[in-house]
Amino acid sequence: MKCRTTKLLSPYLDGQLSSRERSAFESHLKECAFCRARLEAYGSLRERFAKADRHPAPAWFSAKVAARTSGSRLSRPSLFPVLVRFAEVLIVLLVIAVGVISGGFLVNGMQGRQMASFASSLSLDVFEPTPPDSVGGVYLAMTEANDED
Amino acid sequence: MTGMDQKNDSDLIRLFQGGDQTSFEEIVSRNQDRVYNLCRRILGNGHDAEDAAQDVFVKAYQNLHHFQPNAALYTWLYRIAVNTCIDYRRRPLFESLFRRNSEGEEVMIDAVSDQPSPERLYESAQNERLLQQGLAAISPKLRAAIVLREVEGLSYEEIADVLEVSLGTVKSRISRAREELLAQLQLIGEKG
Repeated sequence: MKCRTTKLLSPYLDGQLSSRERSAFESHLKECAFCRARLEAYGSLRERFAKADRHPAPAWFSAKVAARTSGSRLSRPSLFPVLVRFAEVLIVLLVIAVGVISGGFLVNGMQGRQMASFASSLSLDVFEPTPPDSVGGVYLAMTEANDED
Repeated sequence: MTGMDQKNDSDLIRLFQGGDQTSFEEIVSRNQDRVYNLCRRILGNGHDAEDAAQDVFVKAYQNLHHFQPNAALYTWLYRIAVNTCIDYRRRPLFESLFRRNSEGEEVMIDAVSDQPSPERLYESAQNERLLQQGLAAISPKLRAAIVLREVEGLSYEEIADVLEVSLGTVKSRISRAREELLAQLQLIGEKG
């Protein structure tokens, strides 16, 4: 037959009862065979846990943790990569600005003839016709003759 | 004895929060056995326990900057471990089945490392098997409570702190865990 006070067995075993509760429960234990049997069973369970081996962490455990945590401090993100990217963009913009400004100085400082020479240097019409007695000229003449045939 | 050996947990946490990585290695070194053993008892096998225990320390590493030293470091680690193990059991079934295939081998390796007598080895293996089967048959919440009490030796107050429940809930869970575990052990014994 079950007993209503079995809920006090675990706190009794674990030393969680006050001295008054403890002495009252001990008086109950003397009269209740059911609670005595349960207490003995709880004691044997405790022995079983005590006999069980403790399992130490496997070899290289800390090294594996170190490998997983290296460079992954998420709660404090570093500003370094952002600063590097910002510096890269700044340098590119600076180079473009220097190029535009120096190009402007170059064009503004030229007078009429210099400007004409500069404009002609930018023109694509700079190739001379191939001399007829050169290897290139002979090759072109042969190619044109074949095309006409 | 090195300088790290003399430092208490609060010193190590403060050093880590100041950017000292070696202090975290010391925290792992001091707590790895107890965290692994707890995971092993809750999850029931070495492979899952190792993965879960590693996860515990990775989570601790990521959150240690927010740790308030009004609680003990080990109870905080136990809390992460219990939550990790409970989440771990919700992983897909095929993963658990695959990882449990070598459970027997793991027991043998651990037992041999202590070099006990064959009788002690047999008795220990039997006790281990029964206990682990019994623990596996009760709910994870009850299992966590009884393991923290009987294996890790925590007080009811510490268990309440780890599980983030009231003292009354701890008392209730430990009582129920003992009753259910005894019933399961009897069932396993009857089955042979």
